Amino acid sequence: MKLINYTAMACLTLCSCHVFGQTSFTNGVNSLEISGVITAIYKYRFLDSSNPDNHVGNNISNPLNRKKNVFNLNNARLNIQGTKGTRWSYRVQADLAQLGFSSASGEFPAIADGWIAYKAMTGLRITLGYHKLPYSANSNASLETQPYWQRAEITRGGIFSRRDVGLTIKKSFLGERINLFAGVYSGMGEYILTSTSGGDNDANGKPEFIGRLELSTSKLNYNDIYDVHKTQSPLFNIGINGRYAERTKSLPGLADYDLKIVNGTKKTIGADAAFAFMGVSAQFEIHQLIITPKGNDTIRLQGKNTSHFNAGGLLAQLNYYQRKYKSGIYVRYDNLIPNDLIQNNKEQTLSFGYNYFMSGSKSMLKIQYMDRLDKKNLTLLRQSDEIRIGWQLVF
Amino acid sequence: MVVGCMSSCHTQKLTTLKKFRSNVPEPSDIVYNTQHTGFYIVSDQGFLYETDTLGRITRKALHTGTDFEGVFADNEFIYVTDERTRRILVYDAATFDFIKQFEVSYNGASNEAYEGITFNTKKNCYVLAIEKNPVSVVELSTDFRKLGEFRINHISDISSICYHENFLYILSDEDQEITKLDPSDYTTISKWKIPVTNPEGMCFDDMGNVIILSDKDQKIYRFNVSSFSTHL
Repeated sequence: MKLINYTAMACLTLCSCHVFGQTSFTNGVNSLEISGVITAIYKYRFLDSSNPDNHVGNNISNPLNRKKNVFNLNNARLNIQGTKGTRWSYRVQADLAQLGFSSASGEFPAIADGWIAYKAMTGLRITLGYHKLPYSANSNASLETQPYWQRAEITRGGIFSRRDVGLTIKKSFLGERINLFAGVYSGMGEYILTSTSGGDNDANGKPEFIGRLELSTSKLNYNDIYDVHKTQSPLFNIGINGRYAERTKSLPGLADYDLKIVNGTKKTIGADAAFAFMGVSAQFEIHQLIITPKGNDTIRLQGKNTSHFNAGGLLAQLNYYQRKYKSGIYVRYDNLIPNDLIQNNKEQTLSFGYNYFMSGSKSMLKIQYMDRLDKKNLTLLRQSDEIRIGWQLVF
Repeated sequence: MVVGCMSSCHTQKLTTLKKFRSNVPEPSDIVYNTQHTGFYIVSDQGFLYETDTLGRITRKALHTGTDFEGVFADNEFIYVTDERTRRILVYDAATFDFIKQFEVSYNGASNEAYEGITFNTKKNCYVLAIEKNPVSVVELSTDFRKLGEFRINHISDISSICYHENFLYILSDEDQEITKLDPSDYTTISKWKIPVTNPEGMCFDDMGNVIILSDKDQKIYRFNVSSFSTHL
């Protein structure tokens, strides 16, 4: 009898494990939905003892500094979104895992979304508020669909902002096979919601402008790029995008590389392409920043006889999803040149990933190993290989 | 109640007979009209269309909804599920006029609710398909009151449901499969793989061909009746 009870309990537990869902309410006209995602990881760095930077106090005679071997609450997002009638929609999303850090100047605020959108007509949508910028397909693919714990250096938000407060107009044609975006934003990026800016713009009051065009052989959804739906006919999409900002003040010391907010003009252009077929998918992205600093910026311009410098990088990734085994395997190459005026300044990383989809992307194990290909170049910011293992739960 | 796959069930693959593009934007479900002259197709944007047998729009209902995901028709009426607002809308099949609507409450995710509707002749009730979390079907009386709910195991999701020649058929978008169910207890009898991306709608035409609607490709696929029948 006990065995039967235990078996029944095990069965019930197993069944309940496969039920993850948001909660929603509706009055027949308006609807409201509550959901969220929690991700928790353990990360471990493989430190090279011959590198002084890996030791406490950057002194090779001190023990290795293992402070980055740690459990992390990556995300604890609470999401409320809804519709009012057929034209209005809204979303408020907070990442509570960021709350502890946001009291300081902070790189990212605890608010991840806070916007309202109006569907003026079929295929025309206007979004106002704090939202993802229409720049970079990888940046626009949601957190839950990412096979890696960390996006490529070029798209993870350290080089250009991924969110800002502003206005986006999206016009779609041919059933969202062609999408055109145009937007105007504060230009302060994520800092617009941190104490760094205090909600104020740069002293020149000028906004940042962004435009994007994307073409696809099928209705485009950024979250489908890893092809967990096993596309039966080959899917291709390409996107080109650009952005322009002028600032009168840099914000150094907040993000790695100090490229997000630069005193001067910052033009960014990029392109992305994706392919998917029968569970195999591949993506490629490339971005180039052309920065013309104002004033006597001898550090960025390296004292050279030039008015500007370039930064940029790319990512290329190959993915395979096998539904039968609920598994995905992934490999990604990405690089970043933070300043082309400095020699031997190219960071390259080869990442390997494995995902086990216990209940789709709603409950999944993710493993990522990052191999820093230039780990012997001690002038680079990132030199240590790293492994991250963690769980993602969407509720 | 939880029902699962019978031990004898196995998955086979269907081959496409014909496919053609529909001009219905964002189509989400399809049913063959009882006059055998074409289809009723609903869209994610809350529109009900009538099309010819090649999926070309011939009529569009004036009354719109929010997020239509399921459609079923009998001789007199067309029944449409509005997933986001948990409503069943009833239209006059002859005039395309909106007649009335019913609420069938459900607190799951906004976009993981009523993906299909059909009539279970064997049990004399309507059946609503819940997409996932959990994958299930809801029985409704003829005046749309809830009678019972049945969990369907071994399926990732349901994107459409229909009743044909004394059996229930459900379509899975994620698995890209058709599953044949016993309409009396919703146990699985057979499964077929379909080579369609994002299959959102399914019905049978008057020849017994299986019609599959792809949302992403905006295409209608017709599968050979004989190739389907040989596996039944």
